[in-house]
Amino acid sequence: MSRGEEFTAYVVQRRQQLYRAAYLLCGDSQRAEDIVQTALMKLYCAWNRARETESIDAYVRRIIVNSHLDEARRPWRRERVGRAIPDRSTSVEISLEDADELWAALKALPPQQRRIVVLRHYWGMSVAETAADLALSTGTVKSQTAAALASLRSALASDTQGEAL
Amino acid sequence: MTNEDLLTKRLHQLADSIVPPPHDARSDLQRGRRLQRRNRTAIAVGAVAVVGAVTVGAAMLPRSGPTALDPSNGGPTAGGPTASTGIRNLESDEAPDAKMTRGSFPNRFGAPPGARAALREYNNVLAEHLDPSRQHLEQYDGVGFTGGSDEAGPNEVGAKFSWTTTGQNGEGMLHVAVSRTWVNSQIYLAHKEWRPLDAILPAGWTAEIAKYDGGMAVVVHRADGVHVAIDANTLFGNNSLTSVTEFRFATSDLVAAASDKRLSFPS
Repeated sequence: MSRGEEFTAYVVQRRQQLYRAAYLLCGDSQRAEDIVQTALMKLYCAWNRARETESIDAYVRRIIVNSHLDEARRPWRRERVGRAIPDRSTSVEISLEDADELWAALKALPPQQRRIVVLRHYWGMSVAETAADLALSTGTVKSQTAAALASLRSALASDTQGEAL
Repeated sequence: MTNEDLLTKRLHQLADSIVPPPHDARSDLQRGRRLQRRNRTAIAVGAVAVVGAVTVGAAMLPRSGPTALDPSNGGPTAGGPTASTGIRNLESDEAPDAKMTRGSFPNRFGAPPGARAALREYNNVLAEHLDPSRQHLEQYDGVGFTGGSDEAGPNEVGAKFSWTTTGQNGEGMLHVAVSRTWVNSQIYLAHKEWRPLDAILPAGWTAEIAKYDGGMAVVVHRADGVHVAIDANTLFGNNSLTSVTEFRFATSDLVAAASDKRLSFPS
């Protein structure tokens, strides 16, 4: 299989998840698409090197998180807390009202806390892996996770219907 | 269900509710191929430029040698200031005439006293502001730059530090230069478009920025006439053909580093 074929197969399989992760990080469809396109361009250029790593997903994930880091630091693209919610599928378990609340709470998190939340709870990374990816200490990751959970508590509590918090 | 489990569940539900826009994998492939072509072209152009510069430099070398500076040999007289820059192994601070480890232009005035200690401090200050975990910036290795003029002696001290990321092949660079004459500074001369930069600085200090493809440089002009410039380039052109993916710091971090009073001209 050629490099182009391998890359295309990867894109077909993984692009939607990458887009969703980028969207969770930046909260904007255009920027999420920009981040994914940029990440995939860089991935193609580094395909041989990425393929030799343990996980191509991990390689792309780092590019996406770094892109979000850069975006958040550009003063002309500072994120603003908003109520805009993404286009959504109708066949999911979460109600629009609950999604609104969680989405707003997620967007209100500081960028670093949101990155940690996405890496740990969407990508399923451990504290140590998250710390390594973000060049933070494990203690920082733990404290930032706790702070994020505290901020998200009310949004999470709204639909728990008895689930322990 | 714990808070963390609940968050994981809800986050996946939220993500699943996001409908990605339609896409064609071939477009991603084409974009990737375009970027790769651009990178290869840039590398080829860079290589040609380097070869050209080396060729021209080699052709001019005999005329810029020490004997050409001797008026009795028809060399230039001391009619005006002659700025010069050089690269010197500053491990030999106390012996300015020791051999140079890199560079092709003789440096007639040597390193100012204390240059080695100053460069080590520069390296530490850069790490403190830009790489606190010390995962990317190389340690000071004893090599630095000096610049100046025959009349004024050394008026610039600086160094280029490698910036790498574990697991990646790319190599970027942080170039720091502390000078007394901005218009002769290597970093000033390396970039064309310097623009004023709004920054919170002590009274009498100003900042400028030069952005370019692959990086940016900032300079802080201090009230005492010292200019501290930092150039962050994703490609360390002397050492690598591959750029680092990106720097994880912002313009404000560069300005903060350049404003650090520990970046002072060695005395």
